[in-house]
Amino acid sequence: MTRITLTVLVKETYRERFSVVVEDCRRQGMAVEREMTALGLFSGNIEAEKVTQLRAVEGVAAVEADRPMRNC
Amino acid sequence: MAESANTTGRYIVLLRQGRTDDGVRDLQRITGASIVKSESTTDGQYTTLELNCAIVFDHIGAALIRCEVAAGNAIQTASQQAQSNILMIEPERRVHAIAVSSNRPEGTAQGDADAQATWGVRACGADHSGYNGQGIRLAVLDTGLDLQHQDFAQRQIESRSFVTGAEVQDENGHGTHCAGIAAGTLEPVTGPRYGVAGQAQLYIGKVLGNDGSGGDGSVLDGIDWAVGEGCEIISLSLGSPAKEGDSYSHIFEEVAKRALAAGTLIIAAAGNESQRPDYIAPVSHPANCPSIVAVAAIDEHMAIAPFSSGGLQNDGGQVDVAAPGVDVLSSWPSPKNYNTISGTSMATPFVAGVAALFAQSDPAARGSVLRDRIVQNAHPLPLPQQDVGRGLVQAPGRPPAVNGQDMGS
Repeated sequence: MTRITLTVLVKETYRERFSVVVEDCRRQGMAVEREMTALGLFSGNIEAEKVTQLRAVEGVAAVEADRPMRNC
Repeated sequence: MAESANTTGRYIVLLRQGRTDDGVRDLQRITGASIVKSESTTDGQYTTLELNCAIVFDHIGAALIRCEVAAGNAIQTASQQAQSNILMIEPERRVHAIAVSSNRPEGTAQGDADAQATWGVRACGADHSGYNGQGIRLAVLDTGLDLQHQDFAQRQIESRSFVTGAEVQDENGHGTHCAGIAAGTLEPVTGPRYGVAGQAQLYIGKVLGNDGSGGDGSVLDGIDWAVGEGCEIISLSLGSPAKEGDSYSHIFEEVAKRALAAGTLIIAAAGNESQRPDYIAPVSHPANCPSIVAVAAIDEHMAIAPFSSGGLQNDGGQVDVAAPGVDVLSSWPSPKNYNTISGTSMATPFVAGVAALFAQSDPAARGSVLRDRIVQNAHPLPLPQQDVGRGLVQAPGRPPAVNGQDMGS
């Protein structure tokens, strides 16, 4: 199964329940690698076909696949 | 108003076209000013303009006036009335010839030869600013920093790596170069000054590996750290090419908004994918986010760099300002210690450093206020806005002296 590296943005209204949203995404199969609490987002990876389920998790504002970055 | 390094203490007043005489009468009524001369004929006349005197430029419908601040405010108020004969008032700016180089020594810009500061530092006015970034937290998220560099080793620097398995120590060079531009020391061990905000508190986040590459995750982690540390400015000399028609990242846009709300301004490189004049690439991610300041690169002739991306998109993706980005001298990991390279990566930390100077100049200049201050004080260039935004970034001038002491030092 292909796994995608992605970032999940927590809704502003759910930021006080940040850890709950993280846990709910873990239950959907996401391996959470970084939790960025100052800004309300977290990143990790998940099987490609489960990305849609992540978007449906309560408190999730947006899900985006990682883009490669380079210095310029 | 007080004379400063950047302003003369006089005002320029724009009068309604076709109603110059009425505008002049209103100006006299509001300020009691005498009209010294309505023709610009005598050399040196302007430099000796007395208080409450004005010169009118009939052909262009404008006036130059020296008056007290209260009178200037009254003119401002009048300009805001509907159908006013006075359209606007601005402080008269000092203008300088911007150094133009001809011969170019190998490996450096002509403007750097024998200069006390690099052409880039001079072009953005940092060498004339009375500010140095003291008290401002400036984060550079890149390939790290040579922590033992002769110009940085004695400095207190906060640092952290967000690249798995990699230390902050810069084995690439890019991060050291960018950090040097943004906040390099005012007195390098050797060579000209190359840094803008030499007294800023530096936060170095390694978000790109030593091969110069990384991903959204490490960059966002670095941004989160910098915001959590209370950094007023984050400099991102990195990106991912965008294609025409691409929308900006809504996550990065929301992150940038949250950062602004927390008092942190994010500044990012527009990208180097253009091959002008044949091809102009759209502004890269994440600089294409509306809430992130996107920086284009110009050379020391004030021309747009051939690689500099342009503001082509309708939804986001605008270039906000331009800064020096061609043949820029800055720090480099030892043993080389210094290097001259080009890119919108180099232009970005100039803006970040200038942002630190503005932030130091005004405690209220944070977040979106700081962004507006940078953009509004940019020097217009005779180039398309899609290429250079509002123009060349300019540092704030010398602060007003209080009791004979320069408040910027």
